[in-house]
Amino acid sequence: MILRMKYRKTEAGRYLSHLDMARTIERTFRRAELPLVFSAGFNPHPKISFASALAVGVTSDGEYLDAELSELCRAEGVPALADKISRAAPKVIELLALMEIRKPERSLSAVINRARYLITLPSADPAGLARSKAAAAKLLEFETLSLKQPQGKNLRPWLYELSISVKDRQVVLDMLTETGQAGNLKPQDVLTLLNDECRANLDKPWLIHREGLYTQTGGGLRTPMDL
Amino acid sequence: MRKEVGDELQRILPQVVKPQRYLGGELNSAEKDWESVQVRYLFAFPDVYEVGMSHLGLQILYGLVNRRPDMLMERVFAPWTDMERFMREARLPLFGLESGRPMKEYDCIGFTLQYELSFTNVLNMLSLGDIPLWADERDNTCPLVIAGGPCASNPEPAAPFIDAFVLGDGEEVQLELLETVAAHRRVRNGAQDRDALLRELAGIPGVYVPSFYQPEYENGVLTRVSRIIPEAPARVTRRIIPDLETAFFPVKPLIPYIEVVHDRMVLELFRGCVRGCRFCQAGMIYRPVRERSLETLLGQARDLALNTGHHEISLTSLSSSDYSCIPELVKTLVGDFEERHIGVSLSSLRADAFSVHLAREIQKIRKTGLTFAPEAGTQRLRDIINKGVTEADITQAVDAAVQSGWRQIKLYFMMGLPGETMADIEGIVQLCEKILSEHPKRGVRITVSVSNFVPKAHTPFQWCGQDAQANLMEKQQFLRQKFRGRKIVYHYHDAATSLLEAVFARGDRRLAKVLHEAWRRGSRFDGWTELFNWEAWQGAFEAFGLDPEVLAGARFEEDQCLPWDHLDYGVDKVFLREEYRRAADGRTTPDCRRGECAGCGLCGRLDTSHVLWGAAGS
Repeated sequence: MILRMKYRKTEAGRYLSHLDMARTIERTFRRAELPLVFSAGFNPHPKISFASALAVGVTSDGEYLDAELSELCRAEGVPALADKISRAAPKVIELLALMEIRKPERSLSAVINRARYLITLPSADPAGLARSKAAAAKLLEFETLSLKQPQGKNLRPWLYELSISVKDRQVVLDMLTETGQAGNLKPQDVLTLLNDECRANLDKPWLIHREGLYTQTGGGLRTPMDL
Repeated sequence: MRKEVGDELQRILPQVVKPQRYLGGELNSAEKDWESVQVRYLFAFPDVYEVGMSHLGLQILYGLVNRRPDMLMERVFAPWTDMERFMREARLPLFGLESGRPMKEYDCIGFTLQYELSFTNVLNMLSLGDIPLWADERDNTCPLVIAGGPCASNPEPAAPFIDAFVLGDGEEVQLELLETVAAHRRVRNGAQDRDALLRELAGIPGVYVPSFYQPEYENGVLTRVSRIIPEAPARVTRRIIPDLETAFFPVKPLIPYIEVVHDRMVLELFRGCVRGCRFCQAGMIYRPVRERSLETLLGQARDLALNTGHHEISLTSLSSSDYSCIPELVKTLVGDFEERHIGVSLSSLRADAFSVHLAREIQKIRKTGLTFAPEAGTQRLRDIINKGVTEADITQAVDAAVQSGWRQIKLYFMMGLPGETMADIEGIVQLCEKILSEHPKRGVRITVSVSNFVPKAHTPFQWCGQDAQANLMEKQQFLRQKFRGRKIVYHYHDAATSLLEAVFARGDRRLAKVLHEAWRRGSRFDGWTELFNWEAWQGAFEAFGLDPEVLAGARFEEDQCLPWDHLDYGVDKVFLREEYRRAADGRTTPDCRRGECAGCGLCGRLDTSHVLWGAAGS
């Protein structure tokens, strides 16, 4: 059976790399005594596939993976399996949802094409806020944007939304970007562009958080749990 | 973690490599209430997180102390140079990973001394913790600074920086020491009277308080180390856990998030080894052999697999194929773990066919390289060092390995051994060529690694000086020439690093000022090639008119006072001297585990004996 899992990478795990997370998840599943299915070959590894790698320094409320388990555990039922995983998970991971899916035609990483990020800046003085808002509006007016002048890849088509607000007296940037196999716009690059092209002068450190991963279809954004 | 530390870290961590090194929070970490315990202990590992977290001793003590409701133990590792720079700039003192408290707030700091080249990191960590480096400069507000581990068997070069050393197995004495600290503070409303506390500690068997011992010199030669207070024992005897069956073992270890050096479960088969290799300190200071039973080990393995989720289990000890139930253990573990794809690995295999058959059992799951350590190139020299491995053992081991499908063989040797001549160095080449010529069609590849012999305290070779730098380099170059263009990969160790190890392994208290000066000149992480700063060390030696080559090369007379003579590890000095003489005559001494007693004196003097469970073993 194949399980699709939605999970959180918590603040405690901010500085873990994708490989660290992958290792941590495999160990969590082993401690939960899930009957993992292994690949064939010289160096077998469990069949766990991730929607998207998450960079060091970034937390998330919407990460996804598919894991193949032996049919033997179907009788236990998904809620019982979810409970086992939650109990075995260390504090960097939090299980948010678990469901059984049919064998997908395309891998999770192939169907994901959007990511929403929230970036929190250290403070929210009124001048800084006004400057950031103006910079964001200006950035969206550009028809082409690239990091390497003059002939870098045009990143502008991959930036779908960008807005700025104040939450808990801190400036928060909210952006929807292209991610996945067709292209990847990193939130750091958007921040760099805001500074370089629009003189936003954003204070560091930038605390980056991935709100979720989605598939843009005709009917709007859908999460891997709704596909 | 404390908010002020957390805020500072949030600013610093994005700028350093591997920030997770400084965050803790691993599964099974203990976050205990600071106020409700009687004593707060900070275990300090003088190397980076990834090295320290691979150390079984840390996991043992962590579980042992933290299961006590009246004690807490936290951890701290040496910050890498980038982190050190940020911490010093921000005036952020070194802190325990669990609570984020500055080092100074703990009651006791405990360093483990695993290798001489980590000594400068001990000083650097004290400095980053804002604790005076010299023990005699610390006052009643400072935490007690203790140290243990193999280098505590000659702690003299580090003695002026440490309040008390713990000798031998730590399981019992660590708790006794912390109980004493707790009781001491309890009757003083939380305060500390350092002199009184040190006197109390000196009364605990296995605790060595160096400030109560005075070295005496005549014409620059050490003549005596004598106690200056009657409460201190004339000689401090190391502690032994006589029975590992009932000893605590951490089946719920800390599980690091980032990749550490040994990312796996560890099963400790036994402690001690009595093969009697004359160069080997571990073979002398951890006697006798104390095995765990098959049932205990299998139970621990099952618990570990369930609690950790690791996909590899390592069977460790000083010579794993000597474990008397090794065939059953390997067979059962491989059977139990195969389905879950948990690999079994064996460390420290002897060079014989028996070991290869064991390795073949394991290979069913995961293929690993095969490593043997003949240590010397000729039988004559192997007899001098009492290696107990013959050329037939080695070639049969390689035959068995090749038959079983291994193509990559690693061989470990030493150079600069006592009694060594160029013929013995050539013997390394000849042995390798013989192996290659016996398997001409199989595509066997050999990796040869040759380290430099470092004479160590409490061994039969403790009287020997180290081979001169020029000789070592000549031998290294000789081998490089000989192995060039062959199907042999050749590695050797930096001679200057080994020189420093030799200076400190057999040094006395006068070296403390050199250590301090080298640290002041920037020496840190001396075991890390990219940071080893030989100029700083040379400058430090020169500042005191000392020549490291003279110190490392010095031969001690048989009747001379050795810097560690007041520390008793159980093996008779008379026995070591006899072994030294037998070495000179090329006479070997057999393993005493099942045969005749070799007369090292340990069992009678420390009232202990070998604990063996089965009949087999290599």
